[in-house]
Amino acid sequence: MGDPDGGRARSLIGESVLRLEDRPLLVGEGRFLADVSFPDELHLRVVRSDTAHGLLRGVDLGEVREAEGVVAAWSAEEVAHLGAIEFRMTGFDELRPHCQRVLAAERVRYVGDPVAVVIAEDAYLAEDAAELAFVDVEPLEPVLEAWSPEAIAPLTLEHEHGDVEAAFAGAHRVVELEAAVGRHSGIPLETRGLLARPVDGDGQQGNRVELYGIAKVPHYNCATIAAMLDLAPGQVVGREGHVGGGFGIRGELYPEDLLVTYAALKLGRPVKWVEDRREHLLAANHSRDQSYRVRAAVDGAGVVQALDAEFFCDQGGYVRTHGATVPNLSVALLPGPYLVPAYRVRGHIRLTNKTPAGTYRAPGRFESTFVRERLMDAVATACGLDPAEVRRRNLIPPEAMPFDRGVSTLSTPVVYDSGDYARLLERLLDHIGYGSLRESLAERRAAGEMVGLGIGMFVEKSGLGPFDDVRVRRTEGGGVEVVTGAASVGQGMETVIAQICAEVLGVDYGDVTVRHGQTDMIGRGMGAFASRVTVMTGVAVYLAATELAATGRPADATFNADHMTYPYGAHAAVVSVDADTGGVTVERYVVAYDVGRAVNPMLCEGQIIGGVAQGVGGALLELFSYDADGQPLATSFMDYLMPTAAEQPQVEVLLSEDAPSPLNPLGLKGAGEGGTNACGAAIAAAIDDAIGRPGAVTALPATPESVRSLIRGAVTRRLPRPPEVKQADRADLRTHLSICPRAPL
Amino acid sequence: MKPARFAYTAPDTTEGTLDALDRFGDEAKVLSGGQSLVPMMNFRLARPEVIVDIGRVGGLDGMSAANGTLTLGARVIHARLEAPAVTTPDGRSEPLGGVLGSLLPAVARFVGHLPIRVRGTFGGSIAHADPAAEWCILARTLDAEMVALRRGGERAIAAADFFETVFTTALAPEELLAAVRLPILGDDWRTGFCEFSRRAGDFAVVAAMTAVRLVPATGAIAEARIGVGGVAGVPVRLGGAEATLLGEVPSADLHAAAAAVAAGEVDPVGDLHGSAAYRRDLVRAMVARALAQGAGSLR
Repeated sequence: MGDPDGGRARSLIGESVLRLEDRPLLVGEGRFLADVSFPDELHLRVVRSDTAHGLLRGVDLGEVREAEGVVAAWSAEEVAHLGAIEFRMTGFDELRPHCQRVLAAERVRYVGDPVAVVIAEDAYLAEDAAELAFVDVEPLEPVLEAWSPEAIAPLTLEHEHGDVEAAFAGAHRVVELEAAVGRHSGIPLETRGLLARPVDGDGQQGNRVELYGIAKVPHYNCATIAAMLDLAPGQVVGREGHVGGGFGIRGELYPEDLLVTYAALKLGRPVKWVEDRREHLLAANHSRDQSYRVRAAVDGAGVVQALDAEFFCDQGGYVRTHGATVPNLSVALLPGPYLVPAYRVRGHIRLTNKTPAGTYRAPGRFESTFVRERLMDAVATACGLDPAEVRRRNLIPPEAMPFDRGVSTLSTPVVYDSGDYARLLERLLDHIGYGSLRESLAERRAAGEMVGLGIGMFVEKSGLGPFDDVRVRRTEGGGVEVVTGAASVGQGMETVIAQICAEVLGVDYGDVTVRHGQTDMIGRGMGAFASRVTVMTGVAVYLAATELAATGRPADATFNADHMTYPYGAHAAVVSVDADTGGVTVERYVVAYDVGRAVNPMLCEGQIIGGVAQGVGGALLELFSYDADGQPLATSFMDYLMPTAAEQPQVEVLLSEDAPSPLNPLGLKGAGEGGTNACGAAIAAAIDDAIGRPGAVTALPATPESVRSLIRGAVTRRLPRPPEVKQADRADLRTHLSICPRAPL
Repeated sequence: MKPARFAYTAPDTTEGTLDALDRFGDEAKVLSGGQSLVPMMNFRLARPEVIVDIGRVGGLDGMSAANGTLTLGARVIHARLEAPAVTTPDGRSEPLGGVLGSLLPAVARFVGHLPIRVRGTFGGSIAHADPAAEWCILARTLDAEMVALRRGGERAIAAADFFETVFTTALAPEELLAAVRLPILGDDWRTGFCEFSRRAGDFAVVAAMTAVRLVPATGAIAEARIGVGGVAGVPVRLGGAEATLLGEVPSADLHAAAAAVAAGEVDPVGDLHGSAAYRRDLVRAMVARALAQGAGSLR
């Protein structure tokens, strides 16, 4: 464990030092959004649609405005000039008509759709008054399935390379399956929230507004809010505090962020909004919810020569800041670590009357890995091969690195930078004692237990560019200050950045102060997402500290990257199934993950273990379900089931550094998402093995009821066959995949 | 998730509590731990005008055994039932032995999580009347008596009459559930309790309690009680399955037969944690396991 004082004597990069972030949190000095208050602050409450789909005839706020403590109440017409929230990533013109306005006008599209706001003297009075709003909705039939002919179909992402038709024509056998991952999402312990405080600036009263509770992408959010409110960029200042988990969903720009900031400026007082948990489950981004139909052309040796896939992505009621990011990642990373010389995919983005969806830890990968690994298991079964052996035969060999996948995502071509996938697989198999483990499980099954083993492999992506800036200077008293436009969402970035900086400068990492998320301290910043901070900010601080060491003067540095780095992993799960109830217990969970170079192995392991908890949730428990009227059924923690300590297995982590990235001087790859990625795949395979029905689990979460019905011999769920979708012109398609705009700088 | 406006009173005495209930009638709601009531208020699913908090009332948290009856004060917290102790007539505390001394801890560990068990109360759970709550199932299975006080009066309500439907009991607005009386089961009783929930600490999807009395000489079942929760608006007794057991000697086959009858006797309604068919299937599994547990063939 950590030994802060020993840092000078040996390399700090690679040391599992304790987190700089922990002290304030442990001694009660955490300052999360709800901890921040100013005198004279007002509280905002959002009035939300309780109808899934309908024509909005009007919102009567007469009684609301008369209620005790109410300062203002607005519906769409009062804020119409704010417009709709644009894409931050992966935007397409076809999706633009479906961006969410800050308050719904004319039509409501999901239960939770904001239709009005109430601003009052305290949060209780605001909630009392919000109940008095009369929202006149003429209900329409809700659309609840992405493949429904009624679902709005703005865009199909397509990609093809290699001769798919020829591969299928010449295939030894064709293996097909359908599989779906249910709707779930990241549920940070700290819900969303924002406090906007007008402050004086440039000698003018109330000329600026400070935003507390801002997270993940402070520079982008402040600049976008400023643009939408007709302010200069510097007039909106991000004041990131402690953040209780991000997971992709927290820190994106949502309607509430605009409403709170607008209210503070309009009313000239601080305005605070703390999302409650019910709101969070209705209103913050959902994720996953993809349904696939895939087939593989397999040769006589069990090698997949072509992969042909079609999937439906249930986007919910609007397209939010992530644009087409999630299906775009699914398209790009579905082939995973396997050669797959020919590949064709169509990913249909469909709008339904559910909460809008966005990215969540391992977006597009938890889903596509589940499907691909189910397919590899099916290939193994069809060919009579061991699941590990079929993977060995298909893995991209190390001599093929760097490996051009022939597809792009997030505006960059997918070129796997380095990796020895087979070596990692063997390491995993050795660790679990693959052969003897399978024998002992077979013995237990013979004695009447239902126990099984499953494995899943994947390639992750990390270190998304295009840039990060860092400024480093020595401070009085021997300290070092690092200023970055990255953000902390609780992942330990301060520690990692301090370690790299201290390593270069030969100081104690505890003497390094990392300032982040303060938009007036540095001109631009990309924030924290896509497992990018250790790579991008880490290399930038390495460059700046190197210059400081050489010159003795404060140094600025920028690290630019056109390509992502590609960590990779393999999971193994051992589960036992209660034959009478269908209940699944994860007995053992092992993650082998290659991060190129681990700056802080303890933090990497922590990321992986936490990621497994979320993966187990998605595999077995978590589901946003809806009734036939589009009413959400999981609106509290009694019904939205996240794993507790009792359900979370002990995770064995095999952290590997076989394949440093050649794309940056430290060899770094990101560690944030590999724990989640293959949980669905490995657990599903283990359940199959336990119940003795290869290929049985095709839908997640594998609830006890669904597993029990599989044990009783139910046939695997089939997706309704969707209507034929018109093929977009290939030339258009290429354009689509290259126009994804970069995040504004 | 802020509660609607309410008034709050915390009487020191039972009399004060009864006065308050008498005065406020159905505008009042008794708070005894608040582990269900407060979340329901935060969701605004419950909107009592007046909260009568009995946390300061003395004399409601006793446990005593006399004349074949175990009396649990309404304010006994769940955690105390993990290691139940009774107060003797001379004021000493001694562990509760016997069949109930084993059964209560076995059930208590299924009640929520530790923070809930140290605030939530036995009486609060009974009065809240969640049909899947462990103590409600126990009260119904063992034919508990609920002691209801009102100003100037007291009555005992049998469990069969007490639970009316979901979150609804026979308690009148002016009545306070002061205690619950459980029959002390003799050593010739064999009990079992099994529960299936999605996660540790969740309310049961289905839970079953069984209690059978054996004739010492023959080992045959002289009396049988089977109660299940999670299948109806109240915890239910399964008379058909109970009858299957009478006069028979416990065996795996007998338990399976009774469990099959039990599954046929219930008429559950499905929700997102389990369809009607799945719940029926679980009744079979839980009843069989509880019986096996009672017979010592399952832990």
